Amino acid sequence: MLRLIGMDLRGHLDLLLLATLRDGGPAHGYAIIASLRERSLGAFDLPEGTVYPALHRLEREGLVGSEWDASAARRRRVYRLTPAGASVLAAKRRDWRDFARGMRAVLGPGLAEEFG
Amino acid sequence: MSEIEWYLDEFFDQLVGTGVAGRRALIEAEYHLRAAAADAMARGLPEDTAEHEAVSRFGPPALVARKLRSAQGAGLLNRAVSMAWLLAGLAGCGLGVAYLVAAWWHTWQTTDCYLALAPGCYTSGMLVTRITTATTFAVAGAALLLGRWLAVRYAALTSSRRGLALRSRR
Repeated sequence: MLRLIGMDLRGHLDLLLLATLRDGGPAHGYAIIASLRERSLGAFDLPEGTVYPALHRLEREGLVGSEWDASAARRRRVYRLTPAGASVLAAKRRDWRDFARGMRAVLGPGLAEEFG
Repeated sequence: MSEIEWYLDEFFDQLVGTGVAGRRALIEAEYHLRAAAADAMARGLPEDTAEHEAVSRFGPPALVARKLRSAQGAGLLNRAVSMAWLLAGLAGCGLGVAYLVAAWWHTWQTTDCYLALAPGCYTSGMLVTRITTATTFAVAGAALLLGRWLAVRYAALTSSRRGLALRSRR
């Protein structure tokens, strides 16, 4: 089960992966996961192996591209954001912003101060 | 045998039948586990503890393989349904056209069909039945093709590609 501090992470994983690739540039799976963990301050508790099927699916949908990097001691697959992936990321960010605004409006104006 | 080797063997067993995607996942898993173990050892953990941590964080082999099959299977199923839908639509249209050609042939192209009823000619009742059947098949086929086109278009708007589609429409 993918969990984010008691919340279900499924459905948001695509957004997180696309955002990580946009901000960090092309990277292999291990680096993507490490970056996710670091940037979330350890909030994400997900079996790391399940990120690879998600990356494969995003690649099949044309949102990320990948190629083998043979320059390392071991062969590894490097993923990059495609223009289509960047467009989808922008749309998902808008959706997330609208969702967060709605949640904040319902849960109370003090929420922002509580979480800084 | 190290814990990473054991894990990769288990993972390999779980990936039977996944083909290229499975082979690629196995290579990625090996790189990931060895990199994670190396990082843990750099933090001062002993090798066996570092490997155990890397394997634990990666998740059970059966779970990862199931996710991979699921990601792979969803794509295959979608393609199969889409192809079956397309073929059904084309078949409907094809049958409709075939019935119309047959009606035209047996009514106006067979010798003496329009002068007198000869063997091989359609009667008025048969002609009406054939044209009705042809129209039904053609309309059903066209409806299937139109429905598929709309479904593909709608899916493009509502799936993860929504942002791209919306942007192109603005």
